[in-house]
Amino acid sequence: MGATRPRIPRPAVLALAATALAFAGACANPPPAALEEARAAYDEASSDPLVTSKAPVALYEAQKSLERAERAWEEGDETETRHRSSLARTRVEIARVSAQGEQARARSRELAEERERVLLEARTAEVGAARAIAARESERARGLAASLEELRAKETERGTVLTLSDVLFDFDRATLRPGAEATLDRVARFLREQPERELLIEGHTDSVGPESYNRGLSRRRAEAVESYLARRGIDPGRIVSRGYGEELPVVSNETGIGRQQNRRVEIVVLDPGESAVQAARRRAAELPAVGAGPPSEEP
Amino acid sequence: MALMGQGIARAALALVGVGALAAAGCASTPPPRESLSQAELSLEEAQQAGAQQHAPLELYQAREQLEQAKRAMEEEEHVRARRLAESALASARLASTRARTAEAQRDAEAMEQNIETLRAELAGARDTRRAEEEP
Repeated sequence: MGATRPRIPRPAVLALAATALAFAGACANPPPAALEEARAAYDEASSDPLVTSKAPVALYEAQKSLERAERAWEEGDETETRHRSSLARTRVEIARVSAQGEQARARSRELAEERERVLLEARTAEVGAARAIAARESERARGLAASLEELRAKETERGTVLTLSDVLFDFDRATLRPGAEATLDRVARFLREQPERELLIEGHTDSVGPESYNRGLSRRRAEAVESYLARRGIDPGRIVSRGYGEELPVVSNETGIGRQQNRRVEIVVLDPGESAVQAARRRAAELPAVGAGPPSEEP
Repeated sequence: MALMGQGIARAALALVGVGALAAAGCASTPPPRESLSQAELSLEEAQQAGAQQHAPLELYQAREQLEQAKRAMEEEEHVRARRLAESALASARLASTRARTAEAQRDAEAMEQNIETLRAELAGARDTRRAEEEP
């Protein structure tokens, strides 16, 4: 403490003694562990950028708390020092936890903005999608005119006649091939846009094989087309399907090409206001051979 | 040297004496009513902030310390009562802070999940829309 060897001059000893007295409390013993722990805790917190940026006020409170503990120590009150050190440590913890809370709140704000962006994107996408659909529809309408050509649509006195070739069906069957769907979808779209027009679906075959068999096959093919169009939203009430078998060829059956052309399904889109039932009757009346029997009708 | 030593010794003794008196918590210290009422208030605050759920340990500590402070008051141990009240106050403040932080963290998590769900729903809706657009 103040003890010195006789060699040191008196004034120095006096000075030393005075200093020692002034700090009697502080230097008498090492500081209590509690105070050192409080100092360490505060040092750690005050060098943590999260704490200094997000909880400066709480950190300041912790600092004041530590200073009060230091004062107690300087005044030599060990019990009070330990008490205040404990308080200071709690204050440091408060600052730390407070900073975490602020961080979470800031994150929530960021997320709220992100949520808004996601919703906005979605709305924009919807609008974009709606526009795209509208654009596609008008393109389809334009394309329909072109695809009707593909369907070899012909304006006749009966109405608009679309001819579906034999290749759309499985050989000698009434089942539609997958490729047929694209064509039939175009037909369906065309028909949906003209709801006031009724249709005749007429199946035809070549002359190969028994007449009754051909009538049956041609009728089943016509019905297959009607079925498909109904699934695509065309009201079957607008449709009359018939199978005419080999009765109404368009070209000679003597060549292979000719026979393939005769194997067809014709969709006759009648003029607005014309009844499909009546048109079918008129058609039946056109059949060449009286003795050939009536075309196979659907019930 | 010896003279100086005597002076130092007496001063040191006086200091120790004062310190001892201060530590004894004698009745000359006024009752810490202010500290006690502050501690009560902060304890209530902590409970309202949901500390029971998010910081039960600190809340329990604060209650204990407050009870001990009141008993110390009754026994006229004012210094001890003040210290206990101050500790209760600090514990209660910590409990409040923990509770508020826990809620803020939960809110942030909920928001994250909400956005995930939103994204999933929107992606689903978009896929449905695209499927419908196919001819």
